[in-house]
Amino acid sequence: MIFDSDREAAQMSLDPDSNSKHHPHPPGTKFTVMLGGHHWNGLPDEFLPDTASAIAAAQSVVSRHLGIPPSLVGASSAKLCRACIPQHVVGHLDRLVTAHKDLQSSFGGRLAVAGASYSPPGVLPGLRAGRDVASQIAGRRRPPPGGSSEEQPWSVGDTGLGGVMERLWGRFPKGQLPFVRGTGWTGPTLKPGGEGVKEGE
Amino acid sequence: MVTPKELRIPRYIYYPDHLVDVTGPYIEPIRDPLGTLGSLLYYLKNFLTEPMYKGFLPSIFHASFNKTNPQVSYQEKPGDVPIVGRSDVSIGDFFLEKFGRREVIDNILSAVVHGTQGGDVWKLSIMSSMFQRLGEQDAIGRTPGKVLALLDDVQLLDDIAKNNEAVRELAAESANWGYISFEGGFSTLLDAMAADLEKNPNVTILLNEPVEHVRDHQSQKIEVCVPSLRSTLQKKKASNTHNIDHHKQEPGTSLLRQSSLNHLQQNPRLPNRQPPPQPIRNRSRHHLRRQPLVPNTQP
Repeated sequence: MIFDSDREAAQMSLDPDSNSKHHPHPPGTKFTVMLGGHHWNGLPDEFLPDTASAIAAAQSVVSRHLGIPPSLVGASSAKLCRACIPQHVVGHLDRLVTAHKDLQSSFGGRLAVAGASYSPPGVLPGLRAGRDVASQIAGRRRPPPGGSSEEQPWSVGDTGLGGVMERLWGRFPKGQLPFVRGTGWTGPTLKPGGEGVKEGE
Repeated sequence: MVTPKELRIPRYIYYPDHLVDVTGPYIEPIRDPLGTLGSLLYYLKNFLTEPMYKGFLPSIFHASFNKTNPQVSYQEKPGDVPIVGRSDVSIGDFFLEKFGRREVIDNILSAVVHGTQGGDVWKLSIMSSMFQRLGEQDAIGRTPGKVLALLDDVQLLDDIAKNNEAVRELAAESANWGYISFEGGFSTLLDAMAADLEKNPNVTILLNEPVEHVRDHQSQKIEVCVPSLRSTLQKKKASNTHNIDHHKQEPGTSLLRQSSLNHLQQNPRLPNRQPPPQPIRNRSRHHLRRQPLVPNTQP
């Protein structure tokens, strides 16, 4: 994994014609090159690469970073995904609070949202958000939080964003957490009345 | 697929004109003392000679000797929980306050954030990032021997652990695992979930579909309009996972009222206007029509 391989400007001058054939599973090593990111913010459409120039740019980067010449590339494909990674810029939590209130007032809790615009980047947070909403819709209850003796609804609420309204933090001894990396399952642990820290909206 | 803990995945940062190995040292002092020493010397040499690490030590010193005070304001009534009032800042500004200089942020942190979120470290929110816990810990303060965690997260783990024997067994077996991955990539998991969901007649999955509008229908249903169906779907409860274009957001504005879903309506010049060809091995026609909304975009 090479972090930030697009830090330098990618060259877009190589001839990609000999590298554009597609094969589902060619033998060899597969490289994924991600170009763009915020370095391309505000670029007019005409400056964004088409398939051929994107492939050439990626091959150029691989050549310069890893010393693998484009002539060794057997198959290539490229795809432009515009605004595909939502950017949680400063003030994002405040905007989520506004969105939560909008959803509540406009749809009465009958429209829920989930996905990378609302949860941290990556596949797993997206899966987790979907699970939270599904649990809420199914009417499942969560274990008692600190200081409470009764089960409560999941905090995502009807909109999927209820968790941003009131975030409860707790300080837990490391061994009390249900899963600890490297040690696996540590047994049922969470008890009501734990030390809690509350973050208001 | 399971990667043994001993097998480290190489990681590099390109700076300024070559790759710098940031995999981390190999530490097995009992089993392989010579290998451990060689690895430590290798990383020490890198640390002393690579321009990428310029300003690293002064930054660590600054962070160690200029700890910020927890920004916690306690409520007056005894027994009330403290309300944390940390104002949001960019990831870059957060670490600039700690390090007192920019080099480490620009050379290392920016590369890591750009490689994972594709964003600008000087614009992304610390409180919505992978460093969220650091931001909270900074605001709330540390407690020796304890881990700060969102109660929701802990309750979720607790819920999963209590209700899933298979997960507990998997966790017990994983003590010596390094990484878990899917042979066919992460989409293996998503495909399986989608296939399971599609068995339910109440679930409709639409991908690569711009949502034109969503409205509260008078018959107590939510109306979602997408152009390809030339009709509307009505659901008693709808779940929308479309991305919102955050580049166009202004602080304090509503995510929903912007309806800035334009990035999903792809540019005619773009190669992916039509669904890309998919390998047909082990896939039915049913699967071929289902394409990820933003495929393979997560680093």
